[in-house]
Amino acid sequence: MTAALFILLCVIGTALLFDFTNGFHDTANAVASSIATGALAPKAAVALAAVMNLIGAFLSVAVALTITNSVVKLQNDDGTPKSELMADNGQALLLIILAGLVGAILWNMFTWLLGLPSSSSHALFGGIIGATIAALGGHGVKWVGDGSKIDGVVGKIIMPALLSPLIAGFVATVGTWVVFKIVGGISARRSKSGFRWGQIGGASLVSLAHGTNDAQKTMGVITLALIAYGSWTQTDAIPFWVKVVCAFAIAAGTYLGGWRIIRTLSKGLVEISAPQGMSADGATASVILSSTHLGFALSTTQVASGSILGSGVGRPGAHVRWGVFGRMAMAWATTLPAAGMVGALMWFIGDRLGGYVGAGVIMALLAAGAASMYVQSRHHQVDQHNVDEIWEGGQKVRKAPSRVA
Amino acid sequence: MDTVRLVFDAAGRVLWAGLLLGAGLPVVFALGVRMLAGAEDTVGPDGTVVSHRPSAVRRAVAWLCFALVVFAVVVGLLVIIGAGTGKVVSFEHGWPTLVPKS
Repeated sequence: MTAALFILLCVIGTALLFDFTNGFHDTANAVASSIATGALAPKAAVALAAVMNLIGAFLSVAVALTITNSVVKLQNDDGTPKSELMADNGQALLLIILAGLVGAILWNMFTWLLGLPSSSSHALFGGIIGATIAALGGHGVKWVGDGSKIDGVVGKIIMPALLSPLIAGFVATVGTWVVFKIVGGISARRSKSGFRWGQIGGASLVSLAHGTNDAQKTMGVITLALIAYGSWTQTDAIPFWVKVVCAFAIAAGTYLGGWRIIRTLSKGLVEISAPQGMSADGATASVILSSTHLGFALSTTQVASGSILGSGVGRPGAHVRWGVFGRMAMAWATTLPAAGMVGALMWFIGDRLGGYVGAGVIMALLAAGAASMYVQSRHHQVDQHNVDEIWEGGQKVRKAPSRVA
Repeated sequence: MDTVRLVFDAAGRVLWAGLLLGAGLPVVFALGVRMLAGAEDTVGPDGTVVSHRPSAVRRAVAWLCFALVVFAVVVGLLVIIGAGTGKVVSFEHGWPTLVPKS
């Protein structure tokens, strides 16, 4: 096996692992409010989200290979890698992608450990931006576009990250406030059974959109690596096996359920009643799909978090835990630079050691980091049995699980 | 900074669409639930609980509300399918159709 082939296999493996973390990290966006109100049992909710993600991933017929072009200058306009990165079966490009993916995975796992819903896409782009700066310098990054369309790190990541929670929060606040005016008089039992279907519909749409959008990114990354290595040449199609493995990786991650993050969004931010949950889900689905339709892609995570927050602000007498929101906002602000720094560090290690050894050490560091965070998570485990325990001042579940498996 | 202006233009459009749909549809749905819920149960003179079924008009309004929400869900599905297949939803014929991205 050549060094380039070894690095290619590492890239494919880490890309699928990233796709898997992308799944469990974002499950909460679709199902947190349904679990909070009891519209769906925890396990049924993640199963629904997983199936919708799988279908969504297979809906991705036209996958854009120009996935990184909005933030870095690694690819030509047609999606092929820049020729200066193509020497020795594209080793230079493969190492940048590998380092970036490792940065993204480690940051995703760290924020999951803390139970914070940060954007997986921002982690992916952050990791790749960091590795690109390490490899090519700051001029390898497209900070702002040329002004002809929304582009660059500022236009595609930083500004949408600032605006998404504001837009979604405002929409959900208005919606929830009016909804409570309308349903004020009816009994909790009737409103709960009525709003259940609204919540399930909203959660399904958000999951489906997530499968279509996010699985595409990993499909694009793997195909880019295959083109760099020289085992794929088409720029208007992707190998079918890539689509299949990416679809199942994101669905499996979703089914695992990122219970720590679900807990923060469903119990930590605000107590969610049925009309509120329906308003939040309606706002999330509408804002995400409107932004897709209008060509201004927003982060699902920030939209969903903003909607749930807004549903608390809009409900008369609701208690919003602004401290929890502050922690989430901190995670949003640090995702890009933190994943970038890990990505840059990984690139330096891989580049100094070179070839097999470099990629092997990066993989060992990834395994060590992921394993230590997994072990850490076992100390205060959150799962489908205790995810909806009352929030007694923190993420940690103080009581023993109330139900037995 | 053209990029900043472009982002604010797009964000403004998303905000208006989001308000119309993201706040409007839950309100329409809630109206449907309200109409279907009818009046509260009352206790009759002999002590039995009497449920009040909503009138035909209220039920018709409720199902009209739900139909509107279902239509919106179908449009949402088309937006997702379009995102997967490189198409966009067009309303030029009055009803939503998928057309190739220009």
